[in-house]
Amino acid sequence: MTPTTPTLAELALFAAKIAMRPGIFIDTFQESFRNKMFWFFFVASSLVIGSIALALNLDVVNGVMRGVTFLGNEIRVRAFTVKQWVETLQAGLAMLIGTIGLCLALLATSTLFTQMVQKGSIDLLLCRPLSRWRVMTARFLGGASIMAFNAAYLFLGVWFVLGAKSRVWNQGFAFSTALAILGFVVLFSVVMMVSVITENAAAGLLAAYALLMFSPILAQHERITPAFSTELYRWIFRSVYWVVPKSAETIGAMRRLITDRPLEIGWAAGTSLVFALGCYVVTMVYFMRKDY
Amino acid sequence: MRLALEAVSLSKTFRRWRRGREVRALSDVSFTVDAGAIFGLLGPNGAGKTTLVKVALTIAHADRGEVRLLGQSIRDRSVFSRVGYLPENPRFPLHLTAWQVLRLYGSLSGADMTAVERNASRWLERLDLARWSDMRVSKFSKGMNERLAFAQALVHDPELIFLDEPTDGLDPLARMEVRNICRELADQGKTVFINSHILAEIELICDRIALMKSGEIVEQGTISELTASRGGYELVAPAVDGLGHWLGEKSLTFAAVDGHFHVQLADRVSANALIDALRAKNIEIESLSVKRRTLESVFIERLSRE
Repeated sequence: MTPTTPTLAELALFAAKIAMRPGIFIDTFQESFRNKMFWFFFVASSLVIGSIALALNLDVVNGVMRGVTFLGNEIRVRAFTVKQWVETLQAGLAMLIGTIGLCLALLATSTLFTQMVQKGSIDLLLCRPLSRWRVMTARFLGGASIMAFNAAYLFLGVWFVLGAKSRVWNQGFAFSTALAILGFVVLFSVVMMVSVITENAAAGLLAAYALLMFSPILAQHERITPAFSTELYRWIFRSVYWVVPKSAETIGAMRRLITDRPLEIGWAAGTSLVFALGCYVVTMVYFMRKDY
Repeated sequence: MRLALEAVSLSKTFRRWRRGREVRALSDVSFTVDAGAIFGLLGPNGAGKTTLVKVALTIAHADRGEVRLLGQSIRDRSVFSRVGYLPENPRFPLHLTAWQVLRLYGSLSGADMTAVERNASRWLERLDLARWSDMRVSKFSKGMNERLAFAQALVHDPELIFLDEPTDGLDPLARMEVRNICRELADQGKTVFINSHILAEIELICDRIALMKSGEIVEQGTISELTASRGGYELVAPAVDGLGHWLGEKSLTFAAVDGHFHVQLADRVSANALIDALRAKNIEIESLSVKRRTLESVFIERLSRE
């Protein structure tokens, strides 16, 4: 009676099956649309895009920024080129979205799993002709898709509005949407694992926030580890750095992508994705064996 | 006879690792349910009834044993498209309306959506929820929620329906409607499996019942099988002079009612012995009846026995 874990072929077929029986996936969307935190996030994104579109005026002379007004107030800028100014603004926005936006996105979606696994609710899902891993994966993909939609809306909206105003179409900013989504998906997998195991949304959220908070500290491992007294401590610190998601590096990579510098994200993205995959596998194994 | 459910040697122990405790919820449980029957599973709280249903529906996993539903192993999940389930204390996504709830669970069961919508309208009407079909379930009362859960269990037109405490929170009229629907479903050849500790409900609608105690099935059969011959016999004879004294000498339990003695007899042998003795005394026997026990008395007697 022990359940089996999904094979790669089953996973590959899953997207097609979602299209055929989209119940949980669509329900996750509907649930998030009713969720006030989601709307708060969406409205905040709209306000950022709207304020750039309506309240930001650029004074450009011969391709050089002469002045900027925001909501009628003059903002003094050094003699940047328009391209430099737009990149600086976009990099600042990306940093803001990569930290505060990410925290809000995790907060908005943190209850998705605990609501699903609570008594009386999970029974109605597990008695269907669906395997457990499909139920959980559909929920995860639903939550990730909602935030991918929100991130794309914010990044592409800002990119379009700034591009239309400045005539600078910085593709790096548009592409950094993918990095923002990657940063979210990795921490969302932590929320999924911890909240499914503990059946507590706050625990999942705190775990993800803790990883996000410690990420910049761990990113400085090369500077910090020499200060440790023994090789064991240095080894432990470096190991933790390699294992946990590299959110700080991901946000840094967004900045580099926007300012047209070498990306150098492969190893950080790779190890973060491996961590997310690990969280997914642990969640699936636990969820498939759990008695509800 | 086609079987709707076949459980073979099911065992389940819940372990709490940190406290080192073990709770044996199912202990080598084997039984069958015929297709087209209304089957009732009775037992006190903690007997393992809900665990048994959850194991059958793969909501919990058995340590050992096998379950077949509608002739198919539950390892093959496709069988669940033909199974409906009303859990105890159902909880729906609060953002959905009653109509959306039925559509969601109908689609998850893999049913054709045209049929699901047709059934949803039908069951909402039948269960007096049609007026509130566009209302969010977050505003539903307990009774409305329970009726919606019942509709949800039927919306994909299943052949086997598990109902866990189906009348919990319902008013008497709604209870009667649930009983009528169960009977209609059985008449259509569908199997209804009811899990309850409300004996009166079970007695009214079930064709067969099983009594469960401490993770084991301790008795099963039809209601008449379980209640018949268990209360002994009652013999009624005219209260002629000296008969009361004689019955007292024989240590028999009796009561005088309207000029007759009602004598209680434990079994057939003592009933026959008394008949012979009375006939030898030339006393006419008014009546002899098998005393049927109520399901409640069987339940209490069987489950309180060590």
